[in-house]
Amino acid sequence: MSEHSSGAGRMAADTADLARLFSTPPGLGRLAAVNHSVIGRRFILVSILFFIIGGLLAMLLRAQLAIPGNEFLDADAYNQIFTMHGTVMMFLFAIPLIEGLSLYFIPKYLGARDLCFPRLSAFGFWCYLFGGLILLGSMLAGVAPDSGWFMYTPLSSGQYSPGINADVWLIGVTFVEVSAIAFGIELVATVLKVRTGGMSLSRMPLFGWYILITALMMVVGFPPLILGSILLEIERAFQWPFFDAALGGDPLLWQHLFWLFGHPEVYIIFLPAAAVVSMMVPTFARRPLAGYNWVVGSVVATGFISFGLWVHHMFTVGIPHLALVFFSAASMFVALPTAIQFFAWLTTLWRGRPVRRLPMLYLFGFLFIFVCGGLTGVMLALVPFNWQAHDTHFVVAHLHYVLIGGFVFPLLAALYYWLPLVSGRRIQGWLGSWAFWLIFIGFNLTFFHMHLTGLVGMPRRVYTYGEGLGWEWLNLASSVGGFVLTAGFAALLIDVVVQVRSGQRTESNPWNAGTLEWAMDHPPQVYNFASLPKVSSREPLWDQPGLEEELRAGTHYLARTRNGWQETLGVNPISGRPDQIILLPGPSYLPLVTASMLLVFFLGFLLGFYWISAAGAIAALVCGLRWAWTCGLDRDLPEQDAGRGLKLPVHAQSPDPPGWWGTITGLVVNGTFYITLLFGYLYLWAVAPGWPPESFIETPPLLPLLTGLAAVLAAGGLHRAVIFNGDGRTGRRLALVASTVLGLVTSVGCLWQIVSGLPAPTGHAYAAVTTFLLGYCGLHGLMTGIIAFYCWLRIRAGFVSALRSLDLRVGRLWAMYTACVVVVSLGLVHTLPVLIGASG
Amino acid sequence: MKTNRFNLGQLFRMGAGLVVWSSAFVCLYAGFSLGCQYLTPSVDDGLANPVTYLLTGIFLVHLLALTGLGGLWWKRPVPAADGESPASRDFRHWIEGAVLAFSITGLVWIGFPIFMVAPCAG
Repeated sequence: MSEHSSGAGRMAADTADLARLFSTPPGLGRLAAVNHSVIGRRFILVSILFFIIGGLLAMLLRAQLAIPGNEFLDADAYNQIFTMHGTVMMFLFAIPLIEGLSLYFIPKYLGARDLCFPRLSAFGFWCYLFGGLILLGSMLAGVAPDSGWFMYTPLSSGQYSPGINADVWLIGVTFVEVSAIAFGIELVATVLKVRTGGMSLSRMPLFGWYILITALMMVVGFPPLILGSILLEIERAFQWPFFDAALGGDPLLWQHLFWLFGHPEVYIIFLPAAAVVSMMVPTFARRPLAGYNWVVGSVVATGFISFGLWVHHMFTVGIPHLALVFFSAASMFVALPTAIQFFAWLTTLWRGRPVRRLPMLYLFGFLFIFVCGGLTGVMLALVPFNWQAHDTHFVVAHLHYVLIGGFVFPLLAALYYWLPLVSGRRIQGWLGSWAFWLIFIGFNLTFFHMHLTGLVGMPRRVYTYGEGLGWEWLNLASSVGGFVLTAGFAALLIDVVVQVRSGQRTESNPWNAGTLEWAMDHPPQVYNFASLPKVSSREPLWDQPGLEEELRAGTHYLARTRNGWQETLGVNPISGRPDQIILLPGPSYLPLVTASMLLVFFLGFLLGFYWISAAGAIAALVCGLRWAWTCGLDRDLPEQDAGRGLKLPVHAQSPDPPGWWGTITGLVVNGTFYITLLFGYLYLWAVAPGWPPESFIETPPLLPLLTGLAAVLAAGGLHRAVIFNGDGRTGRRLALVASTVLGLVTSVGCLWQIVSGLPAPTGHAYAAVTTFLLGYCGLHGLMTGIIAFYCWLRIRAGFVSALRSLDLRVGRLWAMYTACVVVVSLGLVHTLPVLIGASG
Repeated sequence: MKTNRFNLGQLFRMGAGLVVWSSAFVCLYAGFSLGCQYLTPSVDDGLANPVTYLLTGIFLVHLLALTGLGGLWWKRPVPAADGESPASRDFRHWIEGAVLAFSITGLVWIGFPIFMVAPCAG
């Protein structure tokens, strides 16, 4: 008895310690918050605020179009409002809401205490907030973007948009995308590495699979738009003619870059929504999801195929028939994996014993509306129909059926599904049901009619229309529907607020779900689980009776606290076998400070204060290095007790700590950016009018050879440093000094070629894009030098040993990547003019 | 101290078929664009032209690669990861096979227009 009470007392002390260790400081200390639940909630709340703003903008649009010849808004205001509506909904609502939900729920689903890079999540949040405020501030100042959320050139180029409006979009959206990239890296590394013991890939909840694929898609999907935005901003600021057809550029290059991002974006939004559907359907059908393997396969397939459809947004720009058929086929093909998921959900319901609960109502709304949107999507994939419907209200209807049906409805279902868990309050159904019917009827009233409006010829993005075209009643119906829809959302908001503030306490696991998040307290503790579960099935709460009590009693992993560490398990990504203890960082102002320095960089650029902008970039780099300095250990530690008789190394002494996965993922981001840049380079060369230019690059042949050699040798130096470090041999510091010098030589070599060998970048797109490419290489050479020197400092400070080699291995990965891009780029830059220059 | 380094290839094999499909997609589109730019076939040639031959070659190379992966999948199933259960290994093997089947279908689906449409017309 006394042993039992002493064990319970020890557990109570440990949970109190856990609560203290994972808590966020009060007052201004909240700005230093890094806990995933706090950051996730902030993302969700801010994105909902932006949703309300975007919705109000939509109301203005519908009010304007309700009757013909309306003068409620003028053309300029209408342009700004429809641009901001699309921008806010896509970049400031949909993506950040996904980020928030994932940040909040992924560790809970995976049985972890936090994400693997909590400070990166916090940094992402600040970037998102600052980028959103830039966009929002422009609206208040009357200089909001007005060229459409797609920013097509030449409309958005300096000649036709001379004001600051387009710059606001390019800067603000790029800032927000930094956040999305941070999210992608965070989630890929977390899902692969930070799971609980026994959670192999085959036992991972589908939510984890969906978010993994979504994060990978963001990692690959966002760089093309970031590149496009940088190029367009440089064109606008410095007159480098990337998109100017008169000087060898091509406006269609922008469309390619935009839709290379834009189409996968649709699936980036849809997949997380499908994830929550895949979690809710089994719960309410009271059986495991039918066809788990099929769903995983189809999600993986969607992740790839969605990148092969972008040209179907460009069917009317004038491309050869084969390309039309090619992309039309791919567009139809993507319906296949989506259909597999649908059939899996329907089969689960068919073979289960479904119960009628409020979230199910919203799920049926999703099934109905998204199928309609999918069917019109297949219609638009057919080239002859696309030519007729392009840029009409039919497309507006289709995209809203897909995005609201495929994203908003599932998330409204998820809102009610997770509300008891997050708030600890019980759901009362009646107002939520009313809200559903208002939203469902309002939505269809608004957007079903838009199909017809489009088919009778009304183009999108016109601020008014004349009488007698047959569009009057359709537009009026859409506007009335829009107001009904808004009333539905207002009812839902009231319902949620009332229930959160004054609902009854919920019982534990009220839906009788099978996944781990319901094993936590309602609402969850900041540390999620008192001990991390050992799982043996996909639905542990169904298949492991008594698991919740065992977790609270601390009989699983990492129940004990020690050394003031915040700990979670790291596992083999495939088998789920625990292989390390991850020590998580605590609250810090560094994410906020680093994001603030980036804000200086972006604002300086936006306002034309380029020296301030450069200072902001350097300060952000310094903050980043300071941030990196706080990671790692300065001494070797023995293996630590992880519970259940398991002893594990801490992550800094593991062969594949989360930082290694984060670096790999970061290099995928960088590599995608680079490949897209090469695509742009070759696209301009092959397709753009006004080629070949008057002159090509002219440098002494030895200069590119020496530059490439320096890059390769710098990578070799870092490689030797890793080898020497592992073998315990001397020479690692010398190798790093050599890499530092060679990295700088690479940078100077690239710069020299730009200055001495290229014509002015304002004269022709060839010079502009070549300068950009060499600048990219030069920047990477400089970073190689900085990283090598940083590694030297880390060795000197005792952060590197034979066991703790992550710094060196990260440096080596970077240097190898740099060597590859420098060699490929210099090869292209210097051989293409010789091979095909004259025939370009 | 355990030093079981994770084998990235084990993870990669699950999606290898779609990587080949993606390569096919990029090469076909790039080959088509560059071919039409630099090989300039006549529309009157129909399907007997250098661009169609180039695209056919790209198509067949990728089909061969996918077939090779299929053979690998059949003959040499994925090795077990550190501490991996047979069920987990079977799952990865299943996903790898399904992805391969899907990729081959996808390649044929997006590739068939090569043999039906003169490449540079329009």
